Amino acid sequence: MKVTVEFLSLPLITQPLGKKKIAVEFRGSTLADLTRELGSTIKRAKDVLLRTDGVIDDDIQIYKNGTDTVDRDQSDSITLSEGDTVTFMMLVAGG
Amino acid sequence: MEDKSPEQSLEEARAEIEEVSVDEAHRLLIDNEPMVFLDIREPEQVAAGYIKGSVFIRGDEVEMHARHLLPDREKPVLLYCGEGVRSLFTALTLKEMGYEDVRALAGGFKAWVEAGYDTESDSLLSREQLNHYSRQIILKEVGVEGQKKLLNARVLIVGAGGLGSPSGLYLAAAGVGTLGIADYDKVAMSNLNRQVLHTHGSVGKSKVESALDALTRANPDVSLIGINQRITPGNVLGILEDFDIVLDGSDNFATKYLMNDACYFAGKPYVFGGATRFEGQAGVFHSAAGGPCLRCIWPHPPRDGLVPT
Repeated sequence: MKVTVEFLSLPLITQPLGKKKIAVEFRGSTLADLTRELGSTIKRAKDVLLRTDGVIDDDIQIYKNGTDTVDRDQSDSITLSEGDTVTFMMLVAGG
Repeated sequence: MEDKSPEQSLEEARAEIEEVSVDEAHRLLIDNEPMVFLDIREPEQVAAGYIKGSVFIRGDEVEMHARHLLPDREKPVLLYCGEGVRSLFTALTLKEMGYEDVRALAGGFKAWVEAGYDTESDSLLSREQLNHYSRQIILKEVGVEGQKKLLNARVLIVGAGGLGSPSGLYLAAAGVGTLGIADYDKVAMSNLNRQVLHTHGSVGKSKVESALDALTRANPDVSLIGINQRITPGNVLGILEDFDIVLDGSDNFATKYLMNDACYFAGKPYVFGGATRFEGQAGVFHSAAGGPCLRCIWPHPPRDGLVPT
């Protein structure tokens, strides 16, 4: 399946990547499948997005197609569709 | 049939309708000449001020209400709108309805105000306030009632830095009645590229002092409260007591989570702002109104080292 992945306020991922939005092709259909793919193919993604047990860390907010908040604890059962956009966002504090 | 351009239509209206200068209109008014001053502007515009003795009919309701509100078709009518264009076309309508002497105020109410002639207002705002806030009072979404709410509002801005500076200036300019500015830092030269409350002359001064100076210059109508101290768990609820809402432009997660928690317990809305490099985030959290708080979305700050400030 092919989706668009967007990283917001995640410079540890986007700086080496050189961009904030990428197309990702992955095996499977769930959010967990996608994050596994990101963790294995994108530098620093595993450290930044996932806890040591492989679950998405709760300091990452996830949106499907811009507005739908995704429950990160249900990533195994959240199915994605071809062409979806998944956004990973970290909180920033700069003022 | 060929459509007329707006310019052609205006030219034709001007050929049909006599335009009266504001000086002549003022003379007619003070001499008590038999003349109806007809204000055709929107209610929000009228609320910000009008010419004494005017009759009010919105431009698009003239056909419906003129017969009732202007029963004497022989009595001269002087129409005015915001800037003197719409009144020409509405005057044409009145003329077609049989009104014999219909004229329009050249330049409209704007020209009347710019000439310095007196205006009336039913609001409790001062003449100076009506003038200062007129461009937002005429917006349906604000109006005089909205402006009164702004003037009665008490906003705490946490941090007089990159976010607090423009926020403070805009809120002061818009007439938020009471602004609290909390910061405990001093102005550094490296702040000046973005912290627009501060200038070269304020380097080394406390940010609160510098901010109060700038905000007073922006709008002396605003009451300012300087809080030149670090906000802590021990003092935050006391500080919050004086305010209706918090705009958080602080630069660290500890303060942001503290302000969120305090607003949650005080039942006050918390406006979050955060920025880094070319990205910014903003959110309104009002758990007392049934919404989530910051911790509902982000239970804790990011792990160390993941986000630069």
